Amino acid sequence: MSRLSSCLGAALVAGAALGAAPASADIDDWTEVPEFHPSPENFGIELRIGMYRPEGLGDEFFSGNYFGGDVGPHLSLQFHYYPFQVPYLGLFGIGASLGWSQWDTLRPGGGAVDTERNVFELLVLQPMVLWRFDTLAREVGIPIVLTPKIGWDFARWLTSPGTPANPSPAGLSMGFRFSGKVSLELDFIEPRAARQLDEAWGINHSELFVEFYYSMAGEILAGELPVSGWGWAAGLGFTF
Amino acid sequence: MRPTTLCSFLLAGLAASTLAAPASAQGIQVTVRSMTSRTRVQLVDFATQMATPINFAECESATIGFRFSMVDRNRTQLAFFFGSMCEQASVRNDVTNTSCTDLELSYAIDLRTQVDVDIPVSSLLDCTQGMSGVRTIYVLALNDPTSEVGAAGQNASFPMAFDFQGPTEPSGFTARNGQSGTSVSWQATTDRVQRYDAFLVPGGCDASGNLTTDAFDDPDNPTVSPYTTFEGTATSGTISFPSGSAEGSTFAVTVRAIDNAGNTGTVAEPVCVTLITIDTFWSAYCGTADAPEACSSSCAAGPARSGAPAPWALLALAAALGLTRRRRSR
Repeated sequence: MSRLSSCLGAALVAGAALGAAPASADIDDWTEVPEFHPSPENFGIELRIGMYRPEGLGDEFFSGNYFGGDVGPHLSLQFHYYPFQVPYLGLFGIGASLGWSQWDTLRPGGGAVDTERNVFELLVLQPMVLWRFDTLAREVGIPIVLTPKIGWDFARWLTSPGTPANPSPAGLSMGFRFSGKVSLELDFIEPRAARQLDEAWGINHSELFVEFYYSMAGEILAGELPVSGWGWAAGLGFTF
Repeated sequence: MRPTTLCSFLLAGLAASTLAAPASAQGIQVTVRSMTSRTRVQLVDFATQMATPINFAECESATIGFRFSMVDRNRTQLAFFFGSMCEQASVRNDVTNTSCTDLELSYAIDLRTQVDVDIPVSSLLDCTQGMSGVRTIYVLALNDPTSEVGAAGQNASFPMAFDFQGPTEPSGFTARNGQSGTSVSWQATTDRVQRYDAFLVPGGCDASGNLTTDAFDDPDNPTVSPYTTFEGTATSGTISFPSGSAEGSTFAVTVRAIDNAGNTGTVAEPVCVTLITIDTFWSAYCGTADAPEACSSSCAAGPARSGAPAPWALLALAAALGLTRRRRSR
């Protein structure tokens, strides 16, 4: 009986020792970093400021007589949707842009003649397709993203004063727009904060960018005012 | 206490409380329901309604709808006076009070506790042009037109501010030729100006710049309506020419001040201006012989063509679908 008791006691002690082993292993794992799972990256938004030169309107437009002294600031907002994500190629999607530019000058008066404010304005709607090539950032660790875009400009233009018969001429010019954007993703500055931003708000990446583009608005369809030209934009972007 | 004594006591108390009711009546309250020349028609207190002085035009033609409340049921008549000390019973007690003048307005209130009365402003004020100030109107509740004024509190008074002096003519008025409009300027008047009315008469001048319209022959009463207004105390602005006006069109232009009571002033000396073509980008761009087709096909500024929003609708739909998918995947 006493031997049996001894055997049972030994078995219980061994069992307890075996049972305690996994618990000591968990304590050792506290340094292990939990794996980060980024949220889906389906959308992008860009806040942009820049300049646009409607060179299709000719040198007179940029002469000192008219709008040559005005920068013609360009403000725009773009929204992107990326339904397709291809490994090693990046994101493919569609987007839309709303932009505004204005040039103005004061036409000199004198004597009994009034000084007149002469304005030319562009309001551009643009649907587009785009490719967000982020392989360098994802696979190589270089925080650069390249984004070519092809869009179609619906450029609503208006100017005043026009002529006595048509004091405020306005119209619509349409055409392709080709753009190339280079972005610097800001995640590398503080990767931990970038992850927290993703976990808290679903913002995958924030970036600074510059984009150059050429618009063919007014060059394709007959009878439209050629407001085509070069432009650039810089700003802040987010993908989420 | 005997039952008859108790009953007598209760009856006496009831009678006393009934008789006491007129004595507890409060003073007349005066509110304004409407004024025909003003758009406000809600029932407001007098001070709020009459913050703006009555102007000359209102004095001649407007009526004010008053509501008199809390009138003692024993009083059957409302009588109106102006001056001072009219609240004393002296008016109807044959006591001479030269400072209190009868306005010869009297309204039977028909034993009601509230009565609405429309009173012509000209019955309360002397509509003499050039006058301004405040007149205090007194309302007394009487038993009948010949009786004495009743108990204290059966009277009310209210002030009526009036301003029958129109603002002076704007001096130094100038206007310049232009394409889309004319810039005008003038020197401020010394009155409390609410706004300036601007007049523009197409064809009001000949080609030599001489005034031909007779619209301003009476500078106090132009025969044309104001073309536009400049709010506040501005002393310059731009008057746009009517759309479709041709180059070389002439216009007679002038302004007049409106004071805070709404009195209209005298128009400034009219000036002739001409619509001329200014050298603008558009005139230069489209003025050449080989002008682009867009110069002639462009329309006047207006709503965008209907083709533009369609891509936005598709993109919004795509974005909405994407958001839905994204939520499901999380």
